[in-house]
Amino acid sequence: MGQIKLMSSLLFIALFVIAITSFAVNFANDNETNVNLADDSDYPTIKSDLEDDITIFYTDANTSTEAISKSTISAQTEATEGGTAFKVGPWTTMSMVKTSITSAYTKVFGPEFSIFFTAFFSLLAIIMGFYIYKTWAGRNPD
Amino acid sequence: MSLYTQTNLTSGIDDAIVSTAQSVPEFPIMILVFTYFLVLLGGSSNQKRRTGIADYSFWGVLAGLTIIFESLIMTLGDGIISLTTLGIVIAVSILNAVWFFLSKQRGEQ
Repeated sequence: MGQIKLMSSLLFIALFVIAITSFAVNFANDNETNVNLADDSDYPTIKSDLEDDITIFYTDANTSTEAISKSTISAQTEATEGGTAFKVGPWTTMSMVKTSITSAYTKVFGPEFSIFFTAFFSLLAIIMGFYIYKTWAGRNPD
Repeated sequence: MSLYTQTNLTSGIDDAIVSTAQSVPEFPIMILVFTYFLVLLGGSSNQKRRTGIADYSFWGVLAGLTIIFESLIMTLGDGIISLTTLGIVIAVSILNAVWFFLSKQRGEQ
């Protein structure tokens, strides 16, 4: 299991926990159930902690991809020093996907589940950074 | 001789379920355990029979989600399952999800 697969797996575990706890709490609130998960002492805290962690991941992913974008390696036979040729396309195409998905996502899920959006694009950005580095410098982050 | 006081069923079948749960508190929990293993073992063994490979972690997640939805329905009534049971059900599902997301199929790197 490479870095990208492992990171994706861990992020999806966190998103699964947020989804399940949110669904259980919202179900209880909507139907005014007698047993409400929000009354539990642990789960609401875990959910808010995970949302904070994903926000931190968003910041870190931005920093990391920016660092990859600005990094240089020594010029080799088949790689330029700055790797500019490999860095232009991915960012532009990712921006197009982000714009396309934002409208559809807001219509389907509403703004309440924006943490999924944050997590998805953070993951997409960091994976894009890794793949740029793979194409350019020849490493294998899969 | 009956094991417990018979419920007046003219008030609805849900009263019988609540009454049974109050007389035997393990009843809803055993239903959840039964459903969990029914989906886990039934699904994985059927998949193995058809394809030769059983993805146990996937069926574990599916079984976990099934008992979550089942237990959420049980929370609608008073006295069927407790908050502790609901918490454990969600914890089991989370552990299954961890197993699923970190598991690798044969041939995967």
